[in-house]
Amino acid sequence: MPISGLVVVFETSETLDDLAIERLASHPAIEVGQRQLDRVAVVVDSVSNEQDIEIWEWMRRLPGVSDIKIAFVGFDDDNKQGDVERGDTNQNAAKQDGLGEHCGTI
Amino acid sequence: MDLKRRSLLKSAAMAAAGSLALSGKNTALPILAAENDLPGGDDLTWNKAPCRFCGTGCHVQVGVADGRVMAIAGDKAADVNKGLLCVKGYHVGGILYGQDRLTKPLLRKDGKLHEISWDQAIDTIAQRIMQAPERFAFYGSGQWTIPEGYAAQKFMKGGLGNNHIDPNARLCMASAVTGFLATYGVDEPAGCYADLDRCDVLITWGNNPAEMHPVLFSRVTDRRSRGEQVKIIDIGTRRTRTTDAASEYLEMKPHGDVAISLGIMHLLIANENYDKNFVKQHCNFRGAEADTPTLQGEAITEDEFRTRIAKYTPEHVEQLSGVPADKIRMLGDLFANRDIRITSLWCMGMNQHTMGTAINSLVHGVHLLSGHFGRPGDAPTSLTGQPSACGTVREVGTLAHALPGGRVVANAEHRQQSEAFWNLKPDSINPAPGYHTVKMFEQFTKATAAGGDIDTIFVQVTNPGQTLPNLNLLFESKKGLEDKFLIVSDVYPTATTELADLILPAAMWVEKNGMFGNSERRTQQWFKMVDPPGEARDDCWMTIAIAHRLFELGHAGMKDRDGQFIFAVKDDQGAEIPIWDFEHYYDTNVDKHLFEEYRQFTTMKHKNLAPYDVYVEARGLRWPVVEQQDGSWRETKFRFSGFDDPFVTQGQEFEFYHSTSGDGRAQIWFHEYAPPPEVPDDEFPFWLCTGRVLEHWHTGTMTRRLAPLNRAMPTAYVEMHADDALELNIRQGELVTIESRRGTAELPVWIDGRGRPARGSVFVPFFDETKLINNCTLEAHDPFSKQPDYKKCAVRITKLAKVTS
Amino acid sequence: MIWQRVTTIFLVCVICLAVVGYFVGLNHVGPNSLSEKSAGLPTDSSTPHGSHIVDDNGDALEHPKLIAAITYSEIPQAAMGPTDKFRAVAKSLPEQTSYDLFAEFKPSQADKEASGRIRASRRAYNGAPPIIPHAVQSTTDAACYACHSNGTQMAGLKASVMSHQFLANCTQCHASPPPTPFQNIDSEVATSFVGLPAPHEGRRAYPGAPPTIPHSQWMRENCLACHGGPNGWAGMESTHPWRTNCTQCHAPSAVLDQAIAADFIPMLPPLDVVNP
Repeated sequence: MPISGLVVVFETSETLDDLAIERLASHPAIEVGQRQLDRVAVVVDSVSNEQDIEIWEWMRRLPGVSDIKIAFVGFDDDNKQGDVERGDTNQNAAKQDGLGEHCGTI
Repeated sequence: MDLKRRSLLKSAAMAAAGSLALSGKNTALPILAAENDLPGGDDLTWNKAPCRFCGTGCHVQVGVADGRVMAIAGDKAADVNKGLLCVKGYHVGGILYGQDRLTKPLLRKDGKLHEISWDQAIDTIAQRIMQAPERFAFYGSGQWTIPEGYAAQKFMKGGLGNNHIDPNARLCMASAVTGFLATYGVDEPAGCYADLDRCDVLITWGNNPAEMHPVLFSRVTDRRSRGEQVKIIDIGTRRTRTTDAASEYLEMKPHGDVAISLGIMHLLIANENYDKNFVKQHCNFRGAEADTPTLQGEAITEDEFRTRIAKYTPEHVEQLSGVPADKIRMLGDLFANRDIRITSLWCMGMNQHTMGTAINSLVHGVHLLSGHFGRPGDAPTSLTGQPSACGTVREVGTLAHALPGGRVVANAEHRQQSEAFWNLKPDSINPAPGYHTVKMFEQFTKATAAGGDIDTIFVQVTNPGQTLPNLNLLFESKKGLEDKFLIVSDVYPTATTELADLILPAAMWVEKNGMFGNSERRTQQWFKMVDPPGEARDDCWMTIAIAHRLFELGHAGMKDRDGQFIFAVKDDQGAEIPIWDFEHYYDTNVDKHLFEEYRQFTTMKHKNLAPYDVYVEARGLRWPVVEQQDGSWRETKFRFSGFDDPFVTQGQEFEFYHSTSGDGRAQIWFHEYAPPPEVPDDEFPFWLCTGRVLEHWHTGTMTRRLAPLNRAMPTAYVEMHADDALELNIRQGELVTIESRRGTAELPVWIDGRGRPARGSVFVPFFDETKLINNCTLEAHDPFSKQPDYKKCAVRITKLAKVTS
Repeated sequence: MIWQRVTTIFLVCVICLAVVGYFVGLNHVGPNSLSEKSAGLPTDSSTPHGSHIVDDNGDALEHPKLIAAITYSEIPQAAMGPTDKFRAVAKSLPEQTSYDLFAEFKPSQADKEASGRIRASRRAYNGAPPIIPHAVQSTTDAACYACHSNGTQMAGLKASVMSHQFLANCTQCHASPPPTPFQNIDSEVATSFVGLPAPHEGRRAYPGAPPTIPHSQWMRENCLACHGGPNGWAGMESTHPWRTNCTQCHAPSAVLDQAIAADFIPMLPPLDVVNP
């Protein structure tokens, strides 16, 4: 049951209008946070990895969305051993590897 | 599932995403975000330009597509760098694209910046000058292109009759100029970079070319990788990357260089193994006058020279410099050996020195006395830190006392010649030298009532708010002086724009036409390749537009003898092109017009330049450039040497044809050693030395906007000896306060970092605008060059915890 | 009830003491120098990381299995990993993967893209010298050359091969990572610079023709550094490694190589044929 903190980046600050926010907020698994110019912070709380991937793809296809950045990923799976949490530092490490974006978390 | 834990995770996720969204940072690398339809290498247009950074003068090939610089390559056709660059040069294209480029003129009203139009900006400046032309000062730099500096020079000295124009080069190589003038009677090195390909010994005097002039240094070390033998002797106050490559490291006390050079000359004289033939034919001896020393000094006999230098025995020099007497003897023996070729390199270590003129003259003296001069590989070579410190400052003469082509305002004949070239009314030029940099800012930051008689300064292409010494006194004290007005033309917000009343967005590098002159007398040219962002415009245009506004307001100085505008440019039909209107600035090549006018000035000191179009075809040419019988233009590699310099009298091996003694001889100077102006004591126990690092150039306004460079060196630091840190209980990376009698700076400590200072001394690079080390430095300066000493003053280091509690 | 409270207070005290102790420990120990002392290879047992047992006479006896305890504050600077004893003996590198010059190779598109991403992340534009992606402490070029002259693989990491001749100052062009004490400082820059991307492939005159070289060969004289050999880039290898004279078939670009560039190809004028 992954929880991820993402930043949805829009093509321009104009395309990030209230309608776009509403669209995002309409999804039951998405919680919308702070918004700045062309980007908005969201938290995705999904029931399974499969749903997580679905939501990722759904967001990418939303009109005006140009990129999704990962700020935080928490796997919270009761059945598996322990938790893996990824914060900012891991993200930097991933970036250095050149694997920047889809580092296998979603 | 633990619900509490889940909500905790969710809020952590939201916090991380929120901070990433708010910071607005682009974490994805730009190239990853690039679309697939971007052009490939073959689709780029490539054109030559000199690198924007240091005085080495490498040429780069600039790859442009869709109006943007997308790639850089070392220029294989360039003699300076032969296709190589340094880490700054490879990334020079990115300096145009920092996201906070200034794009609109901004005027400060009631403490807030307001966007205004260019017309308003130019008018504001012109009105202020019109009110009190003599209280206006122009502060530029060795990053001015030659035409920009020439326009500023003509505008101030010719147009306004005001000599308050000085460049930041005053803080950078003024002592090198006075050293050359005192020794040879004419400025700039006689040798060239080809010396580096021939020398058997390279001596770096307080110089770290491995980081500051890496392309030149690797030209020497690459010879070693090819199996050649080159001995590198590093004389310095701290171990650097140059030391890593050196065969010998001689660690000296600050000011030890003066004693070392005197010690070498003492040995050459005492052992009678100096080059008697060379000295007899080509040299005189000089010393300073007893009462009022001048740059010319007075002639002394060889015997007098022997008497004065007698006390600088290796043992005495060891006491003064800290370098063992044996090593002084080793240097003496090296110079006594005429079978090897010795090149000396120096830059800020000898220039930013309260005895700057003296130490420059003394090192020239060592080379002259030993005859290690004028053969390829035998050269005393002074390096510069800015791309056109030589071309614009030294040759165009944008200094408070100078006129173009090696002329000075104090000389009536020089003034008349300049007025004639500029077609000005007689006595347009003021005979009194203007304020040098330190004095200019002293007068600007002093209240008018207290005698501060500069009330407007126009700063172009430099950042005095970060580079002036003793910033609290010379810059920060401008705050609160309502009648003072600071105009800054720059490309990014800087420490200087913090206090600016009017900010002008400038075009930079390949966003405009330009010409630079590098450290080896090489004049270089490039064309505009891309448009500047927003309303950014050329610095040269700004000067001309202000001049024209003054012309419209009826300022008499902006008219020449025939009543024409002093910067008038005519087309083929004789109609004036309105170059003061930016729409029409590129209707013609203004650089070419200004350069062709400037060329007339250059023959007096035999610094002859070729026509503009010749430079278009070349990767720079070293002056004097002389036209051959077949119409081609020939550059000069070795000045004063009969085999190469066209101005040496036929049949002479050497001739110093601008000798101050008028007899074709160079001067070997004697200067008495003097201790530094401020020496560590119980209260301030550490020496502070400032300088640069490989990755950042000067105040970092350009290089700190380049990702690979900022990653490599994200912050300024204070470099400490491990034992000093242990004694003060300071840990690696800990923040400390550096405090001098003049101010403080907070910096993290790097113990045994890239450079390793001697015990009792610390080093701080000055590139970081958030950690202004020049709050601490000393404004004490050389009596002749007026160049301050940034390399030594006394500080104390305090753990931050103690300071705040 | 009261016991619970006492237990809580006791535990709080213990935690406080631990925290205070930790920071006191940090503050009252000086710097651990990174100078010559710890830099060189240990040659005797008296180095700081040596391990000793003191016998009855106070003489140090060496015990190879014991590692001397250090304080918390020393941990970040302490040399971890192999013991001095292990390090003092010369080691040979792990056996390198063998490379069969005559095996036909089918590069995968996915590998090529992955390699491309890594390469792109390390340079500002195609043709820029790559930044150094790993920590460097040594400033001597010999250290760089040891791994990068022919490339090597160890512990799942690969050192790429120098594509140019030996030049004497590696960090002149290759930007190093941030100095260790400053590695956590945010060094992000806001820039709109877009670098030239790496080319996908050269141009072919017709399907099946050998593609031209789509990048400059300057400083990339050694084709095998990337396009072959055991340490090249996955997905970018030559499909025909036994053909070792690359430019025999693949034409370089005169413009990108800064050869004398002509706007048109100089030719003799066409033949002047008179029609009957």
